[in-house]
Amino acid sequence: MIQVLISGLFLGGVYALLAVGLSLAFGIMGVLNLAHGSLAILGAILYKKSLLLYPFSPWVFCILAAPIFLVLGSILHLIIVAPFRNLSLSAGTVASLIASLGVALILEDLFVWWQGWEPISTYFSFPTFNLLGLKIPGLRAVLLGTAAITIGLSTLFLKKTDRGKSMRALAQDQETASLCGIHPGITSMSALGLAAIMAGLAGIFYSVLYPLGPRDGLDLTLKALFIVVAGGMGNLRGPAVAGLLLGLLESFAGFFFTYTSTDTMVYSLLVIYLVLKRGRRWQ
Amino acid sequence: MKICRVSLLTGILSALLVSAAYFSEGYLGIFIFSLIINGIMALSFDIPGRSLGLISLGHATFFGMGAYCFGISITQGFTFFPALILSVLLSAMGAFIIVFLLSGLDHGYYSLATLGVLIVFQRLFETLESLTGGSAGLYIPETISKLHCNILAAFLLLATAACHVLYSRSRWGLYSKETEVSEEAAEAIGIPTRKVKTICLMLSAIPASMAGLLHLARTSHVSPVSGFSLTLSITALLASRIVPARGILGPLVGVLLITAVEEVIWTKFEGFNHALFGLILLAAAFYQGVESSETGLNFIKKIRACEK
Amino acid sequence: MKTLKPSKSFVWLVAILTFSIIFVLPGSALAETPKEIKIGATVSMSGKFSTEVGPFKQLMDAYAAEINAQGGIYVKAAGSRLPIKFIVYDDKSDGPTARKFYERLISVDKADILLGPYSSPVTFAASIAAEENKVPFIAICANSHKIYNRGFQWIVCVIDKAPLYTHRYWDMIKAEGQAKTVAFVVEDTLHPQGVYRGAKKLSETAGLKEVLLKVLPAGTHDFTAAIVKIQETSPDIVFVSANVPFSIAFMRQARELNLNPKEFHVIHHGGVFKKGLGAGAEDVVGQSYWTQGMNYGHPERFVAVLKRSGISLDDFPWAPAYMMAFEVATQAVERVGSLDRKDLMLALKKLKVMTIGGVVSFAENGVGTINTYPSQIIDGKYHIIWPPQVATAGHRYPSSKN
Repeated sequence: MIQVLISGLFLGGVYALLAVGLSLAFGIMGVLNLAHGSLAILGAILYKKSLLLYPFSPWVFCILAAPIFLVLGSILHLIIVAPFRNLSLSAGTVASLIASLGVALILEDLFVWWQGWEPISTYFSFPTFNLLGLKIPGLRAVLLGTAAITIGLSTLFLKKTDRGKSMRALAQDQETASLCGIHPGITSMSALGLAAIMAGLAGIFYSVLYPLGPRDGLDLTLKALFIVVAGGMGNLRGPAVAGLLLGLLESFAGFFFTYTSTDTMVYSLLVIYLVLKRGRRWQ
Repeated sequence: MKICRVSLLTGILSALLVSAAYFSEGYLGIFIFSLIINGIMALSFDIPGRSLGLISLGHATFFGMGAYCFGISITQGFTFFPALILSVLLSAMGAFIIVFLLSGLDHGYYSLATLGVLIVFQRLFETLESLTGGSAGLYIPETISKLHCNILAAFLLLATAACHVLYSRSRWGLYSKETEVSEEAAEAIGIPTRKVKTICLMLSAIPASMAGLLHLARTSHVSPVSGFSLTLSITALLASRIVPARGILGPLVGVLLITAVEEVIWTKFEGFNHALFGLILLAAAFYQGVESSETGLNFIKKIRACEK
Repeated sequence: MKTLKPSKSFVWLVAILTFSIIFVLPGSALAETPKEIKIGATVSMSGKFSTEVGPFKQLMDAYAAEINAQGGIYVKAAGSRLPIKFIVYDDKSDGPTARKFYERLISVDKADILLGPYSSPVTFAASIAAEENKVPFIAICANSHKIYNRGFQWIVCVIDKAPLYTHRYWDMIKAEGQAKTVAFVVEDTLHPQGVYRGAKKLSETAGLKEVLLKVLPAGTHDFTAAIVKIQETSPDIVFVSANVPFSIAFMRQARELNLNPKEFHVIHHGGVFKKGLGAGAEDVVGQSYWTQGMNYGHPERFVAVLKRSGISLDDFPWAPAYMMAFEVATQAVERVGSLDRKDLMLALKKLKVMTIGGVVSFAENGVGTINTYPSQIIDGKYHIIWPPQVATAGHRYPSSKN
């Protein structure tokens, strides 16, 4: 059972990384970025292509890829957020959603054209360790550690830096933040850049563990979305914890119940949680 | 402008009704039928979307429920009309439970909760193989001619459009608007917000489940993936919002635009179909953005001045 | 917030719409002497099956180019050789979409013969169009019994039913007499379930005992619980009945957790499987329709088609099944000598043709005879290991990792 717990944590780490980026975008800009998963796929493809040049380890490649995703996130901001700033809240949200869906569809075809139809699966060899009779897959452990460091650094960024504080202020109240001299455009652009980095890194880790189809972007976004909602929007800790819990739930559900009912159970629990915790109670 | 809108509306609805009757077989028959079903889904999606601001990403749940209730009734030996009545009643009951549970949620959480319900139903119906056929789905023999099915679908579209218009003009529609602005304020002035939301969402759910039922009658096959399809929900969302027009004109023109353009892209172009469709979505989104910006407004005004 | 009255923009919108709909509307075709043989099909170029068959339109076009380069197919009714032309749409891995496009292929494009889409669920829906319109339909990678138990008269399938998918493997196991126990891991989707049902019976016939069965949903990411239970039972063979992404994920974790039975059998172990696992794929047995070295039919033509299309057999192991379907379609036309749909269907029902995978014929319900061969990854290459007359290498059992 402890083996199952450990595996669940590793799985949860990947989910957490995928979700925290989306949480940033959703929480700070109120934008449901349907292209978030596509950025993860892009990360996976970039890593796969880079392996043809040099056998980078995933964590080293993450450092190289981060600036690329920062720039991509900023460009994405110009497409899915900036043009709709003058619309009302609900109209702007829907317009951004449509635009991000458009971007996701365009990226899908570009990915297929670039890397082909076959699944993106990268191979990186790393030993498994034995610790007190338990098998610890080294690769998953290092990836979990890298994910934790990434989330930790991002949390520090949000808490300690001016830019990070601006993002948090914008998430709380855009109007008041603007009145205090925070430029909403540049701040939300930075937030989307950071979210894009998280997505790219998640994609790199994902491809080392599980094969990804070039058109799986929307599916990944949906999974991340649920974790964000369960964990809370606009912060990093909530989705990170929710991601870990989801990984554990999936592992343990398979241990105690049949696997077939796991998905149904997980989503049912999420819906029940939403209804009980997040909605308004009827009087 | 009002005359233009009304005549456009009448034209579209009449054209759909006539073509549903005239083209019932073959590819055109399926295309017209899909157009009508998408129209029903878009209009029914738009009822709570416009009046309450609630975006249901799981709108296809009702579609799937209607299809499966009908399919199971047929496989249990019922003929068309008894199966129709039974499945409408059953799916209405199911819809009521879902609506009752979720109508208390705020906008963003409502969207995601409905999405969760959609996925739960999809997985559940994959699991209950003996009843639903599992992931292969249900196959039923032909219970009604394609012509009759198309005509029924066209009348359902008219009925949904009528519901949409009548609701928005009724006091319930006004209550919905107030509820959207501020639920607490609405309750404070005596509006039964819970009742308003439930009625509005049920008015949305029932046409959607009937659309599912008719879809199964026409195509003879439904599976959990095709019945509880996220694509269907997103198409309904896009169709209802892509054209910035008031009332039912927006969803209807939106459905025509999306269905026709999608069909052209997927039949006339080789490769990069998704990218083309994505570009059209971007263009539609930007159009709304441009219209709302000062620069955009000035630009459009200049163009119109030149046109005169 | 300011808005304009969208009156003129509406006129433009409606104009675009009208134009689009007119563009979509089919033109009527007058009856005339056929100038080409039209083969209609859909390919999953998007959606969940796109990773399995996405580029197969190129395969079809390459086959057409190869045949047309030799002058086409002789059609007696036309009095000449006619070129073949594939008309292909993207079914988005979706049944209703496939159904709609098959209706279009029939009524608008006037296809003479239809090739099925990938996968049983999509074929299930698509074949209804062919049956209702009475057009010959050659299913390819769709061997669920549910498709052929409906009493349809206008469908045949190249491959044998799913339960017999691995029969040659179990023949080999029985002949060798070494393995005694088997644990099954099954992906809970149509095809893997069908394969498992047959494999279970075949393993019993081969004298093996099933020690564990784990059925997991398609999107499973964590297999620890299953792997731990498998380790407890110590089976000789771990049989994974699943599609490629599932198999890769399972095998990765199995290797990490040091699950090392005497043999892994993974029913689909195409090139992406090998690339995704690296050395972890060594000695894994799977099933292949064809490998280099097999000498049925015209293998050189298949190699030429693959080269022309740019498709790697390793990455897309379903290519041979599609090639066999092409051969069946063109040989049916050649034998009948006309493009009459009824004659073609009658001919198909009685057809017995040699293809690159062996002889294809059809049962009364349309099910075909092509089955896979067990193939093992030995020193990084795929080798057919049974039956001896076709084998390109000996069976390595137990695995070198055991």
